[in-house]
Amino acid sequence: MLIAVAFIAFALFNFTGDPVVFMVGQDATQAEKDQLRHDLGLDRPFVVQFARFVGRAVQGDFGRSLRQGRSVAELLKERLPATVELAVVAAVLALVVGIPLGIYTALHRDSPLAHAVMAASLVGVSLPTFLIGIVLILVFAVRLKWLPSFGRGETVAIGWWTTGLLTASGRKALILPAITLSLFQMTLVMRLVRAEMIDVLKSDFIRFARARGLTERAIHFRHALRNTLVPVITITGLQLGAIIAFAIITETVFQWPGMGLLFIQAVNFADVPVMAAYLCLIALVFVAINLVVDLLYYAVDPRLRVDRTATAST
Amino acid sequence: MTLLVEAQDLARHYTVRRGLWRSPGTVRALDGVSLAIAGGTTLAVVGESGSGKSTLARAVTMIEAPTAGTLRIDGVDVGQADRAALARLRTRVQMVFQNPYASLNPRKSIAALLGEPLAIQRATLSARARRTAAREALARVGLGSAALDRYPHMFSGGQRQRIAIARALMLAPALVVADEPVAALDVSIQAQVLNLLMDLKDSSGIAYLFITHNLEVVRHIADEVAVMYFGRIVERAAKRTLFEAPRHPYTQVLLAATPTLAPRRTPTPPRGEPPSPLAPPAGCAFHGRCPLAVDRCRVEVPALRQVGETWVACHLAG
Amino acid sequence: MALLDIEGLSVAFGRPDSPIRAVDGVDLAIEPGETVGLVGESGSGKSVTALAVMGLVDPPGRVVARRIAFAGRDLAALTPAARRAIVGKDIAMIFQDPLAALDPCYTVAFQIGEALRRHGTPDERRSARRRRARALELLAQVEIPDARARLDAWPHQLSGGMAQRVMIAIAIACKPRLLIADEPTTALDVTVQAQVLELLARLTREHGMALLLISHDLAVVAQSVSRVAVLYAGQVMEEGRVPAIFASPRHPYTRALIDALPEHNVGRARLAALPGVVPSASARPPGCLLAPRCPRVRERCRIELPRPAHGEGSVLRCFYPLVPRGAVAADMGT
Repeated sequence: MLIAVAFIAFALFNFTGDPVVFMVGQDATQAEKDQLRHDLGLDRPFVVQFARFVGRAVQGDFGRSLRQGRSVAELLKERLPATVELAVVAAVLALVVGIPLGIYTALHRDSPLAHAVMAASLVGVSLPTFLIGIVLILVFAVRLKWLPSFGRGETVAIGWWTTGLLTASGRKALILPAITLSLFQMTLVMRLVRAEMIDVLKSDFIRFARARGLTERAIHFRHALRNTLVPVITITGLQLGAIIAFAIITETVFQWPGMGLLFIQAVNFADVPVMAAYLCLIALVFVAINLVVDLLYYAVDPRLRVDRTATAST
Repeated sequence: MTLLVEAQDLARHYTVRRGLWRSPGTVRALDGVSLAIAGGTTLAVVGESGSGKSTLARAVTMIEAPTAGTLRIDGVDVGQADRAALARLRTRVQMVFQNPYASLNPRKSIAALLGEPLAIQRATLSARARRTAAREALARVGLGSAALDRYPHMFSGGQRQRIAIARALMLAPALVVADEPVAALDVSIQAQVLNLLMDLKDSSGIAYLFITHNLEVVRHIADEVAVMYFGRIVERAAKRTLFEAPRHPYTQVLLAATPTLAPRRTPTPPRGEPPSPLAPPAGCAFHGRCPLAVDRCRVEVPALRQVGETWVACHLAG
Repeated sequence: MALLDIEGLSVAFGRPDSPIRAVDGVDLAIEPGETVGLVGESGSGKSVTALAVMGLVDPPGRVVARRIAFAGRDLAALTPAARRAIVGKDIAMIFQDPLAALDPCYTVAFQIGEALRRHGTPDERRSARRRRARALELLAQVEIPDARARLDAWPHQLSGGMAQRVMIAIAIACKPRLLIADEPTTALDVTVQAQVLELLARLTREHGMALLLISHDLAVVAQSVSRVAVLYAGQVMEEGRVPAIFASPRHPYTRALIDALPEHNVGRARLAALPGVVPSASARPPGCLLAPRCPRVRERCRIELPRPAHGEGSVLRCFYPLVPRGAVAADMGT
């Protein structure tokens, strides 16, 4: 799967534009261009280029940025913390708000508040991310001047990792982009939890739990919620990958110095190594998340944990 | 006279994957079953869940090929038959399922559902002729032609089962394989459907392979009975013989366990539950629950042999 | 005093101005330690009756009753919390599909312990160890082989029969005085059904527990209880002692149910089938609900609804009942 993504990424960008044109000026001679092309290895056959790309990529070497002349791996490493922090905070926000709202709307289906939340969630699903971002900037940064509208604020370096979570300005800068990025996921999580929970509440074991006179609390949280979480884990897990991918838009709107912004800038300059590396990294993230989701299943659903046949007979 | 259905040592084994760390297991859903059905007779196959009776039904209807053994229908070996012969054989055998809610496509009108087999098997027939045939089939199962343009959800469970039976009749089959056709129906409706099946047998000489867990239904509808346990036939006999003198301990247990209206408490209910299909016991599959089991039963699989008028697979019978 | 006393119980669904009555004026009394059967076809309202007693009818269903009393206390007058203190403790219920009724995410021991922690003795509520010991005891009581190993089993590791035993263990954990069993053996094989019925009989006998057995299967009920109420379209048609009610039924519907059984038609070519189907709850005939299908129907039946007539240990809702036959008893022997 990773190889496939790498191939597509590589192939796609190989035919999208000629980076050499961007790199040298309009008035460069053909000889100068050819020399550069040779130096970069761009005059080799496509297959050779790809093989070299893969060979180096597995060692963590994605080549050099055609625009900045720096190592791609280094560039990504520099930008990774910003994106990861943004994505994780957004995901946590989506879960922390989405799950309780989902539970509430499932348990109090006919209450006015639940109706209001459901209506609001419709807006959340349908509004495009950039619009939400711009509106938030307009209200909180421009009008109220409470929060910064762009950038990451001050960061603290911990080894090669930089974090904005330890400074006040860094935390303030994180609020608007995190809300923007999480809003769509939040509504998704909420609607998913609600639908699943309503389904689970109709099941036989909930009826049996009621027939045992258990408290509503035990029925809702111990039995209904736990069974609701299995499908929710899958979706939110997969959505975490989507959050990182979607971060491109949010990062652009807020000029957030993450990988997404790097990618957009790379696209503008047909900076193939950066684009290819970014896509490979995103694919890697998706694969890793899928693995984690599968492992989480084992924690939540005992049916997967134990071999059914081992103890089925007497 | 050639028999309508003749099965020799039919077997159907499934390979079951058991996760990454364990080697795959084999489930012997059907394990060396031989039987014969003559035209116009009813063979009832009785067994509990996991006995392989539904696998047998799928093998005889040619939905699923057996992994071993031969199946002859109308004297033709199904395993050797070419496509044309197979297509002809498939029209000879039709199936009625347990759940009339699931076996009828809810988006098709009754006329379309009944016309479907004709449209596939007798493509030359006009739409009008198909409709006429559908009307006739409905009449045979006691439904009026008003039903033609309705949809399955507009009918009750019993009516739907009638429609499913009508659909099975469309190609004038010689054999109808009925897999628990009345198990999902209420008692009074069950009686209606059983009556219908018997009337059809009398009027058009249809033979049935009747799969059921209900011995009382068998007592009513069967000519011959085969009792299955764990993929094998443990006893086969004419109905009267089987009910009056059951020879296999499992048949006896089954008869004793079947509740009746007359107060007839079983002094000791049968022991245990059927073994796991992935861990089949050695010897006779029933020995763990058998009140009579001796050492030989734990080692040697008993073969089906004739004792009196009964075929029975038990070391101790006779 | 009756342990459970239901009078005029009705459960309606649908809009208030055009109610669909699933249960329509049911009276039923169960004495302490008594075993009573509730039989009927699908849609007869037998399960809804039980759910109404348990307070488990979900909206939009509406329960109305002159009286639903348990051990002298009017259940309908209790607050939901007070009612939950009785439900699961003094009245327990088990359901048809045991594998679906157990929560797949928790072990057998946990689910038994849950009932004990809620309703058990002070000792059991306090100590997890005490609960585990009691759970083991209960599994042994419901005759689960190798009970100790089953304590930590998950529901999906159990066979249907085993799961039904676990459900029974959970239900009897707090020594209920009434156990309601809704089609407890319908999903089970015949041999396992016999075992579970035997188990229920033993438990009621040993604990002096009353049993309300709900089933569509007359034979199952005949084997297991001492008194039966026959439900049709939400109304009790006939009630009487076993085996008398099956030997010589007075109501044409009871008669028809018995006659439809293959057991009663040995040697006969056709089963005596009742024509037609149960009227839907929204389209009731004006008179007796059985009138459109009844072989003995007369003009009066189509106009007027017969009232239930109470006799000695029996109830009958019919204008023209069958005459008790002595000959039927001989018939039963075949």
